[in-house]
Amino acid sequence: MGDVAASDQELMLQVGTGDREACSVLVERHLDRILAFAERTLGNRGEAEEIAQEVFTRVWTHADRWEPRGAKVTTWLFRVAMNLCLNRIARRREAPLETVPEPVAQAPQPSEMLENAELGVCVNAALQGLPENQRIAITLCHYQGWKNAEAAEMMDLSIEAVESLLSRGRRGLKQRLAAVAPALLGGSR
Amino acid sequence: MNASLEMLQSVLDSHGACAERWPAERRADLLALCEHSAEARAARAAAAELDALLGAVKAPAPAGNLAETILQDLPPRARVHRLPLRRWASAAMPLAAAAALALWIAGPLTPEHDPLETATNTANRSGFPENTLALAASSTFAWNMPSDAFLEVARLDPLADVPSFGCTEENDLGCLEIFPSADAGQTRAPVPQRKWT
Repeated sequence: MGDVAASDQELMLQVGTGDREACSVLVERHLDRILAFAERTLGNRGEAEEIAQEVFTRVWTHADRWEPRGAKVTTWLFRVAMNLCLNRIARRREAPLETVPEPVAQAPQPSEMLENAELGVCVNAALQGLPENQRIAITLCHYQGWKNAEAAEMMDLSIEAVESLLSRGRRGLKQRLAAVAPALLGGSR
Repeated sequence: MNASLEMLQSVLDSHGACAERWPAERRADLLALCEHSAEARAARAAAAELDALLGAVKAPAPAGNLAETILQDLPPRARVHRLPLRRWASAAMPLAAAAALALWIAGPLTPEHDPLETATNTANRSGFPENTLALAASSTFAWNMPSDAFLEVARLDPLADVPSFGCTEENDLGCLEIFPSADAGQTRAPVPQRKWT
Protein backbone atom coordinates (compact mmCIF):
# COMPACT_ATOMS: atom_id res chain seq x y z
CA MET A 1 0.00 0.00 0.00
CA GLY A 2 1.39 3.43 -0.85
CA ASP A 3 1.30 6.64 1.14
CA VAL A 4 -2.24 7.36 0.04
CA ALA A 5 -4.70 4.95 1.56
CA ALA A 6 -6.57 2.94 -0.99
CA SER A 7 -10.25 3.73 -1.28
CA ASP A 8 -12.82 1.15 -0.27
CA GLN A 9 -13.68 0.67 -3.93
CA GLU A 10 -10.08 -0.09 -4.83
CA LEU A 11 -9.80 -2.47 -1.91
CA MET A 12 -12.97 -4.27 -2.96
CA LEU A 13 -11.57 -4.76 -6.45
CA GLN A 14 -8.36 -6.13 -4.98
CA VAL A 15 -10.28 -8.44 -2.67
CA GLY A 16 -12.11 -9.61 -5.78
CA THR A 17 -8.81 -10.88 -7.15
CA GLY A 18 -8.18 -12.83 -3.95
CA ASP A 19 -5.97 -10.26 -2.20
CA ARG A 20 -6.09 -11.14 1.51
CA GLU A 21 -4.08 -8.06 2.47
CA ALA A 22 -6.74 -5.81 0.93
CA CYS A 23 -9.40 -7.75 2.81
CA SER A 24 -7.45 -7.24 6.02
CA VAL A 25 -7.42 -3.46 5.44
CA LEU A 26 -11.18 -3.44 4.85
CA VAL A 27 -11.75 -5.44 8.03
CA GLU A 28 -9.54 -3.12 10.08
CA ARG A 29 -11.26 -0.08 8.63
CA HIS A 30 -14.88 -1.10 9.14
CA LEU A 31 -15.08 -3.89 11.70
CA ASP A 32 -15.62 -1.72 14.78
CA ARG A 33 -18.54 0.16 13.28
CA ILE A 34 -20.17 -2.94 11.85
CA LEU A 35 -19.77 -4.70 15.18
CA ALA A 36 -21.19 -1.75 17.11
CA PHE A 37 -24.11 -1.50 14.72
CA ALA A 38 -24.90 -5.21 15.09
CA GLU A 39 -24.53 -5.07 18.86
CA ARG A 40 -26.87 -2.11 19.20
CA THR A 41 -29.35 -3.69 16.82
CA LEU A 42 -29.32 -7.15 18.38
CA GLY A 43 -28.50 -6.21 21.98
CA ASN A 44 -26.15 -9.16 22.20
CA ARG A 45 -22.37 -9.12 21.79
CA GLY A 46 -21.94 -12.76 20.81
CA GLU A 47 -24.49 -12.57 18.05
CA ALA A 48 -23.05 -9.26 16.91
CA GLU A 49 -19.60 -10.84 16.51
CA GLU A 50 -21.11 -13.65 14.44
CA ILE A 51 -22.84 -11.09 12.25
CA ALA A 52 -19.65 -9.06 11.80
CA GLN A 53 -17.75 -12.20 10.83
CA GLU A 54 -20.45 -13.16 8.35
CA VAL A 55 -20.39 -9.68 6.79
CA PHE A 56 -16.65 -9.86 6.08
CA THR A 57 -16.86 -13.46 4.93
CA ARG A 58 -19.37 -12.24 2.36
CA VAL A 59 -17.04 -9.43 1.38
CA TRP A 60 -14.38 -12.06 0.73
CA THR A 61 -16.58 -14.46 -1.18
CA HIS A 62 -18.62 -11.88 -3.14
CA ALA A 63 -16.03 -9.21 -3.90
CA ASP A 64 -15.35 -10.60 -7.38
CA ARG A 65 -18.96 -9.79 -8.23
CA TRP A 66 -18.82 -6.32 -6.71
CA GLU A 67 -20.11 -3.71 -9.13
CA PRO A 68 -19.93 -0.20 -7.65
CA ARG A 69 -22.80 1.36 -9.67
CA GLY A 70 -22.43 4.52 -7.61
CA ALA A 71 -22.99 2.81 -4.26
CA LYS A 72 -20.42 3.16 -1.53
CA VAL A 73 -18.79 0.07 -0.05
CA THR A 74 -19.92 1.16 3.41
CA THR A 75 -23.52 1.33 2.21
CA TRP A 76 -23.23 -2.25 0.99
CA LEU A 77 -21.51 -3.41 4.19
CA PHE A 78 -24.16 -1.89 6.43
CA ARG A 79 -26.96 -3.20 4.28
CA VAL A 80 -25.56 -6.71 4.50
CA ALA A 81 -25.15 -6.30 8.26
CA MET A 82 -28.67 -4.97 8.61
CA ASN A 83 -30.18 -7.83 6.63
CA LEU A 84 -28.26 -10.39 8.66
CA CYS A 85 -29.44 -8.73 11.88
CA LEU A 86 -33.04 -8.70 10.68
CA ASN A 87 -32.77 -12.39 9.76
CA ARG A 88 -31.43 -13.10 13.22
CA ILE A 89 -34.30 -11.18 14.84
CA ALA A 90 -36.84 -13.00 12.67
CA ARG A 91 -35.32 -16.34 13.69
CA ARG A 92 -35.58 -15.35 17.34
CA ARG A 93 -39.30 -14.83 16.92
CA GLU A 94 -39.70 -18.27 15.39
CA ALA A 95 -37.46 -20.07 17.88
CA PRO A 96 -38.79 -21.45 21.16
CA LEU A 97 -38.14 -19.01 23.98
CA GLU A 98 -35.58 -21.17 25.80
CA THR A 99 -33.28 -21.27 22.75
CA VAL A 100 -33.22 -17.50 22.21
CA PRO A 101 -30.02 -15.84 23.48
CA GLU A 102 -30.71 -13.37 26.21
CA PRO A 103 -30.10 -9.74 25.34
CA VAL A 104 -27.27 -8.18 27.26
CA ALA A 105 -29.39 -5.25 28.35
CA GLN A 106 -32.03 -6.66 30.66
CA ALA A 107 -34.80 -4.21 31.39
CA PRO A 108 -34.43 -3.39 35.07
CA GLN A 109 -37.37 -2.65 37.30
CA PRO A 110 -38.04 1.07 37.87
CA SER A 111 -36.95 0.94 41.48
CA GLU A 112 -33.71 -0.81 40.53
CA MET A 113 -33.10 1.75 37.84
CA LEU A 114 -33.15 4.69 40.16
CA GLU A 115 -31.12 2.86 42.74
CA ASN A 116 -28.33 1.65 40.51
CA ALA A 117 -28.50 4.75 38.36
CA GLU A 118 -27.25 2.84 35.39
CA LEU A 119 -28.81 5.21 33.02
CA GLY A 120 -27.27 3.65 29.96
CA VAL A 121 -28.68 0.25 30.85
CA CYS A 122 -32.17 1.70 31.16
CA VAL A 123 -31.94 3.57 27.90
CA ASN A 124 -30.48 0.57 26.13
CA ALA A 125 -33.34 -1.56 27.41
CA ALA A 126 -35.79 1.02 26.09
CA LEU A 127 -33.97 0.99 22.75
CA GLN A 128 -34.16 -2.77 22.57
CA GLY A 129 -37.89 -2.52 23.13
CA LEU A 130 -38.39 -0.44 19.99
CA PRO A 131 -39.41 -2.03 16.70
CA GLU A 132 -36.21 -3.08 14.94
CA ASN A 133 -36.53 -0.69 11.99
CA GLN A 134 -36.82 2.28 14.37
CA ARG A 135 -33.88 0.97 16.38
CA ILE A 136 -31.80 0.56 13.23
CA ALA A 137 -32.62 4.10 12.07
CA ILE A 138 -31.62 5.54 15.46
CA THR A 139 -28.47 3.42 15.54
CA LEU A 140 -27.38 4.51 12.07
CA CYS A 141 -28.18 8.20 12.47
CA HIS A 142 -27.60 8.91 16.12
CA TYR A 143 -24.90 6.45 17.11
CA GLN A 144 -23.10 5.91 13.84
CA GLY A 145 -23.46 9.49 12.67
CA TRP A 146 -24.70 8.74 9.18
CA LYS A 147 -26.78 11.41 7.52
CA ASN A 148 -30.43 10.63 7.05
CA ALA A 149 -29.89 10.30 3.30
CA GLU A 150 -27.06 7.80 3.82
CA ALA A 151 -29.14 5.81 6.30
CA ALA A 152 -31.98 5.82 3.78
CA GLU A 153 -29.68 4.29 1.18
CA MET A 154 -28.46 1.65 3.61
CA MET A 155 -31.99 0.77 4.64
CA ASP A 156 -33.24 0.92 1.05
CA LEU A 157 -35.90 3.44 2.06
CA SER A 158 -36.77 7.01 1.16
CA ILE A 159 -35.35 9.80 3.31
CA GLU A 160 -38.87 10.64 4.42
CA ALA A 161 -39.42 7.07 5.57
CA VAL A 162 -36.18 7.13 7.58
CA GLU A 163 -37.14 10.46 9.15
CA SER A 164 -40.50 9.00 10.05
CA LEU A 165 -38.78 6.01 11.68
CA LEU A 166 -36.46 8.32 13.61
CA SER A 167 -39.34 10.47 14.74
CA ARG A 168 -41.44 7.52 15.87
CA GLY A 169 -38.42 5.90 17.48
CA ARG A 170 -37.55 8.97 19.52
CA ARG A 171 -41.16 9.43 20.59
CA GLY A 172 -41.35 5.75 21.51
CA LEU A 173 -38.17 6.05 23.55
CA LYS A 174 -39.52 9.06 25.42
CA GLN A 175 -42.72 7.20 26.25
CA ARG A 176 -40.87 4.10 27.44
CA LEU A 177 -38.44 6.05 29.56
CA ALA A 178 -41.17 8.27 30.96
CA ALA A 179 -43.18 5.19 31.89
CA VAL A 180 -40.39 3.44 33.79
CA ALA A 181 -38.40 6.41 35.07
CA PRO A 182 -40.09 9.79 34.85
CA ALA A 183 -37.15 11.34 36.68
CA LEU A 184 -34.95 10.60 33.69
CA LEU A 185 -37.04 12.87 31.52
CA GLY A 186 -37.70 15.59 34.03
CA GLY A 187 -37.34 18.49 31.71
CA SER A 188 -39.20 17.03 28.78
CA ARG A 189 -42.72 17.20 30.13
CA MET B 1 -39.86 34.31 10.77
CA ASN B 2 -40.27 31.52 8.24
CA ALA B 3 -40.02 28.50 10.54
CA SER B 4 -42.97 27.35 12.60
CA LEU B 5 -42.97 25.55 15.90
CA GLU B 6 -44.41 22.48 14.16
CA MET B 7 -41.55 22.50 11.70
CA LEU B 8 -39.06 22.74 14.54
CA GLN B 9 -40.71 19.85 16.39
CA SER B 10 -40.63 17.74 13.24
CA VAL B 11 -36.92 18.44 12.77
CA LEU B 12 -36.19 17.81 16.45
CA ASP B 13 -38.05 14.49 16.27
CA SER B 14 -36.11 13.23 13.30
CA HIS B 15 -32.70 14.89 13.74
CA GLY B 16 -32.38 15.63 17.44
CA ALA B 17 -31.39 18.87 19.13
CA CYS B 18 -27.96 19.29 17.54
CA ALA B 19 -28.34 22.03 14.94
CA GLU B 20 -25.49 20.62 12.89
CA ARG B 21 -27.68 17.68 12.03
CA TRP B 22 -30.61 19.80 10.93
CA PRO B 23 -31.30 20.31 7.23
CA ALA B 24 -28.98 23.09 6.10
CA GLU B 25 -31.67 24.97 4.21
CA ARG B 26 -33.85 25.31 7.32
CA ARG B 27 -31.17 25.64 9.96
CA ALA B 28 -30.96 29.44 10.11
CA ASP B 29 -34.72 29.89 10.36
CA LEU B 30 -35.04 27.24 13.03
CA LEU B 31 -32.24 28.72 15.11
CA ALA B 32 -33.86 32.15 14.80
CA LEU B 33 -37.13 30.64 16.00
CA CYS B 34 -35.38 29.13 19.02
CA GLU B 35 -33.85 32.52 19.81
CA HIS B 36 -37.18 34.29 19.84
CA SER B 37 -39.61 31.68 21.15
CA ALA B 38 -39.51 30.23 24.66
CA GLU B 39 -41.70 27.37 23.49
CA ALA B 40 -39.22 26.54 20.76
CA ARG B 41 -36.36 26.62 23.24
CA ALA B 42 -38.27 24.26 25.54
CA ALA B 43 -38.88 21.85 22.68
CA ARG B 44 -35.21 21.92 21.77
CA ALA B 45 -34.20 21.36 25.38
CA ALA B 46 -36.46 18.31 25.59
CA ALA B 47 -34.88 16.94 22.44
CA ALA B 48 -31.42 17.62 23.86
CA GLU B 49 -32.37 15.69 26.97
CA LEU B 50 -33.30 12.67 24.92
CA ASP B 51 -30.05 13.01 22.96
CA ALA B 52 -28.17 13.01 26.23
CA LEU B 53 -30.00 9.88 27.37
CA LEU B 54 -29.15 8.16 24.10
CA GLY B 55 -25.56 9.18 24.68
CA ALA B 56 -25.59 7.55 28.08
CA VAL B 57 -25.75 4.10 26.53
CA LYS B 58 -22.33 2.50 26.80
CA ALA B 59 -20.56 2.30 23.47
CA PRO B 60 -19.93 -1.27 22.32
CA ALA B 61 -16.40 -2.43 23.01
CA PRO B 62 -13.97 -2.45 20.11
CA ALA B 63 -13.58 -5.61 18.13
CA GLY B 64 -10.32 -6.66 19.81
CA ASN B 65 -8.88 -9.76 18.18
CA LEU B 66 -12.05 -10.48 16.23
CA ALA B 67 -10.35 -9.14 13.11
CA GLU B 68 -7.68 -11.85 13.34
CA THR B 69 -10.33 -14.51 13.81
CA ILE B 70 -12.25 -13.26 10.79
CA LEU B 71 -9.16 -13.22 8.57
CA GLN B 72 -8.04 -16.65 9.74
CA ASP B 73 -11.45 -18.16 9.10
CA LEU B 74 -11.90 -16.79 5.60
CA PRO B 75 -12.98 -19.68 3.42
CA PRO B 76 -11.00 -20.67 0.33
CA ARG B 77 -12.51 -18.90 -2.60
CA ALA B 78 -13.27 -20.70 -5.82
CA ARG B 79 -11.88 -18.72 -8.73
CA VAL B 80 -14.90 -19.21 -10.90
CA HIS B 81 -16.24 -16.41 -13.04
CA ARG B 82 -19.82 -17.31 -12.47
CA LEU B 83 -21.47 -14.19 -13.77
CA PRO B 84 -20.12 -14.17 -17.34
CA LEU B 85 -20.78 -17.91 -17.66
CA ARG B 86 -24.31 -17.47 -16.45
CA ARG B 87 -24.84 -14.60 -18.84
CA TRP B 88 -23.61 -16.68 -21.77
CA ALA B 89 -25.72 -19.64 -20.75
CA SER B 90 -28.83 -17.54 -20.40
CA ALA B 91 -28.36 -16.18 -23.92
CA ALA B 92 -27.15 -19.39 -25.57
CA MET B 93 -29.85 -21.75 -24.38
CA PRO B 94 -32.83 -20.02 -26.03
CA LEU B 95 -30.76 -19.41 -29.16
CA ALA B 96 -29.83 -23.08 -29.37
CA ALA B 97 -33.45 -24.11 -28.89
CA ALA B 98 -34.59 -21.70 -31.59
CA ALA B 99 -31.90 -22.94 -33.99
CA ALA B 100 -32.86 -26.57 -33.39
CA LEU B 101 -36.52 -25.79 -34.07
CA ALA B 102 -35.66 -23.87 -37.23
CA LEU B 103 -33.51 -26.74 -38.53
CA TRP B 104 -36.22 -29.24 -37.78
CA ILE B 105 -38.89 -27.19 -39.55
CA ALA B 106 -36.74 -26.38 -42.55
CA GLY B 107 -35.46 -29.97 -42.66
CA PRO B 108 -34.33 -31.70 -45.86
CA LEU B 109 -36.75 -30.56 -48.55
CA THR B 110 -37.24 -33.90 -50.25
CA PRO B 111 -40.29 -34.15 -52.48
CA GLU B 112 -42.11 -37.31 -51.63
CA HIS B 113 -44.47 -37.05 -54.59
CA ASP B 114 -44.06 -35.81 -58.09
CA PRO B 115 -45.27 -32.20 -57.94
CA LEU B 116 -46.60 -32.23 -61.49
CA GLU B 117 -48.55 -35.46 -61.02
CA THR B 118 -50.03 -34.20 -57.75
CA ALA B 119 -51.04 -30.91 -59.32
CA THR B 120 -52.67 -32.63 -62.26
CA ASN B 121 -54.66 -35.00 -60.05
CA THR B 122 -55.78 -32.14 -57.85
CA ALA B 123 -56.88 -30.08 -60.83
CA ASN B 124 -58.78 -32.98 -62.30
CA ARG B 125 -60.56 -33.68 -59.02
CA SER B 126 -61.61 -30.05 -58.75
CA GLY B 127 -62.84 -29.81 -62.31
CA PHE B 128 -60.65 -26.87 -63.12
CA PRO B 129 -58.53 -26.54 -66.21
CA GLU B 130 -55.29 -28.36 -65.63
CA ASN B 131 -53.04 -25.37 -66.16
CA THR B 132 -54.96 -23.16 -63.76
CA LEU B 133 -53.93 -25.00 -60.63
CA ALA B 134 -50.78 -26.73 -61.71
CA LEU B 135 -48.39 -24.08 -60.51
CA ALA B 136 -50.16 -23.41 -57.23
CA ALA B 137 -50.65 -27.07 -56.48
CA SER B 138 -47.06 -27.92 -57.18
CA SER B 139 -45.85 -25.35 -54.69
CA THR B 140 -48.52 -26.01 -52.11
CA PHE B 141 -49.02 -29.73 -51.85
CA ALA B 142 -46.00 -31.47 -53.20
CA TRP B 143 -43.43 -30.95 -50.42
CA ASN B 144 -43.40 -33.12 -47.40
CA MET B 145 -42.14 -30.93 -44.53
CA PRO B 146 -41.03 -32.04 -41.06
CA SER B 147 -43.72 -29.78 -39.65
CA ASP B 148 -46.33 -31.99 -41.34
CA ALA B 149 -45.99 -34.03 -38.18
CA PHE B 150 -48.24 -31.44 -36.59
CA LEU B 151 -50.95 -32.32 -39.11
CA GLU B 152 -50.52 -36.03 -38.48
CA VAL B 153 -51.15 -35.48 -34.80
CA ALA B 154 -54.52 -34.00 -35.76
CA ARG B 155 -55.08 -36.88 -38.21
CA LEU B 156 -54.83 -34.59 -41.19
CA ASP B 157 -53.17 -35.72 -44.38
CA PRO B 158 -51.41 -32.78 -45.95
CA LEU B 159 -52.11 -34.16 -49.40
CA ALA B 160 -55.57 -35.70 -49.10
CA ASP B 161 -57.27 -33.36 -46.67
CA VAL B 162 -57.07 -30.18 -48.64
CA PRO B 163 -59.73 -27.75 -47.51
CA SER B 164 -62.32 -27.65 -50.25
CA PHE B 165 -63.33 -24.06 -50.02
CA GLY B 166 -63.49 -21.97 -53.12
CA CYS B 167 -65.76 -21.65 -56.07
CA THR B 168 -67.75 -24.68 -57.07
CA GLU B 169 -69.90 -25.52 -60.05
CA GLU B 170 -73.03 -24.51 -58.16
CA ASN B 171 -71.46 -21.10 -57.61
CA ASP B 172 -73.19 -20.84 -54.27
CA LEU B 173 -70.27 -19.00 -52.68
CA GLY B 174 -70.78 -15.77 -54.54
CA CYS B 175 -67.76 -16.18 -56.81
CA LEU B 176 -67.36 -14.30 -60.01
CA GLU B 177 -68.24 -16.36 -63.04
CA ILE B 178 -65.02 -16.95 -64.91
CA PHE B 179 -66.82 -18.81 -67.71
CA PRO B 180 -70.13 -16.97 -68.17
CA SER B 181 -73.07 -19.20 -68.99
CA ALA B 182 -75.49 -18.73 -71.81
CA ASP B 183 -77.83 -16.57 -69.79
CA ALA B 184 -75.08 -14.17 -68.83
CA GLY B 185 -76.09 -10.56 -69.03
CA GLN B 186 -79.43 -11.24 -67.34
CA THR B 187 -80.23 -9.73 -63.99
CA ARG B 188 -77.58 -10.88 -61.55
CA ALA B 189 -78.99 -12.94 -58.70
CA PRO B 190 -78.33 -11.61 -55.20
CA VAL B 191 -75.13 -12.95 -53.76
CA PRO B 192 -75.93 -15.63 -51.23
CA GLN B 193 -74.21 -15.69 -47.89
CA ARG B 194 -70.85 -17.39 -47.90
CA LYS B 195 -70.69 -20.83 -46.48
CA TRP B 196 -67.78 -23.18 -46.00
CA THR B 197 -68.34 -26.62 -47.38
